[in-house]
Amino acid sequence: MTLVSLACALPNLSMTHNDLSDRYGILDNEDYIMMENQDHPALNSVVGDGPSWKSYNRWLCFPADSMTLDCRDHESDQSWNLIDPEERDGMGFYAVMDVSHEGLYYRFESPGWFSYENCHQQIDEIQELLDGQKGICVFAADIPSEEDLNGAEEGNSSAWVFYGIKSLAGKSMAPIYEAVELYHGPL
Amino acid sequence: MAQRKKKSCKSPKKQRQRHGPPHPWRLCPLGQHYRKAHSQSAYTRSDGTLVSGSRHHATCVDNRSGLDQIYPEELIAIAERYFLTLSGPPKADSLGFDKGNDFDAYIRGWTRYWNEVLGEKDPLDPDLVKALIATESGFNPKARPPGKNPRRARGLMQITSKTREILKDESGELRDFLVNVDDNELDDPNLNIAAGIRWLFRKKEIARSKIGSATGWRDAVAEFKDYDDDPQNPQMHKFDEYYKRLKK
Repeated sequence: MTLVSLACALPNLSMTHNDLSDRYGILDNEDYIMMENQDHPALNSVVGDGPSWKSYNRWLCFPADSMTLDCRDHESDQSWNLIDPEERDGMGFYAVMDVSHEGLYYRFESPGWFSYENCHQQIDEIQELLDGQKGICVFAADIPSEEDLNGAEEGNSSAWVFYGIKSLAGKSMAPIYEAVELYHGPL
Repeated sequence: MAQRKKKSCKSPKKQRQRHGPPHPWRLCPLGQHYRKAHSQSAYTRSDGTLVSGSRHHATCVDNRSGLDQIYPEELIAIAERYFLTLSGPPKADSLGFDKGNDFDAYIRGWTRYWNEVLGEKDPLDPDLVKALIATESGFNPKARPPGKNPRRARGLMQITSKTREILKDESGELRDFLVNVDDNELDDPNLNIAAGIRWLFRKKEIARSKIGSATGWRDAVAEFKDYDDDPQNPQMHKFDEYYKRLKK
């Protein structure tokens, strides 16, 4: 990983200055290597639409009890439990993890949206990783806000897209990080 | 995140990489999808804390599957940017329907897009799509078959919920070039046609697996309509009539 790409992998949100490193012994060498081996950003700007930026995944770890889970409609951002069950069937939902930690608020959402059933399947899977745990680590890339990009005063919330989650109970990664063969070269 | 591991592997993994350039109309690199600019509203938590809101620029988001996936936001952006300047078939013949020519730009644009993306040697003819829409819905974007089943077919190309699920299934029969739309979005002519044409290409593959290399687009239409066992069905005759008229 070059210095330039490493710099891009670092959070561009000064808001995230608090310690989100793994204090729970969840992450292993493979997890850090995966983070450092990212060959392209998980998120980037659209050409011709505002300033150019890119965002790589990084691991952020939180107390497990700081996280709540939800499925939210991709259009209205409404929580699934506020939507008429008969209407839910054909709708698309983001799996969302909200974290409130040391006065800061993090919203992690899935890279794409799913049917209600698939979203709940994902949420259930994450819940299993949370149950009975002290800590949880999320592999996610931050979506810079216009305020971040303009250097304006930051708020107390940030938005992220997540590609993986891990606790001492197990690990669940997006298929893109489960696929293909292993990298054995120098780091 | 479909797969779950209890134990971690011993070696680091390398990400799946997509190769080749994306279609020139696409707004994001291959393997990513477009998400339009959006705002998050400020809100007050139950403990009285104010959580700040924020506004985000449009974003290219890595697909979780590593496959090519296209979402409504990008389908809409592509149609707005490119379709009004295209020319060529389908023929401007309403086929006797009030709205018969209203969706020609979408038919023209998405036929071209999928022909180029999927690289079919025998390209799909936009006139064939128009004739198919005439028989499926009579160009009524809100068309529904009778009954109350919420999963019944919808819109111009009469796409069912089951089909919609196949079109976006990351581990399903499409294998790549997925289209993510929800049921309500199938009432949108642009999204319905984009998804419907992708499905027609898949139906041609299915027809080819049954018929072999002689498979033509009419066979794909018969498969689309579920008349593959009955190619002389009156609905197919109607389709043939419309298609002939458009080719005159």
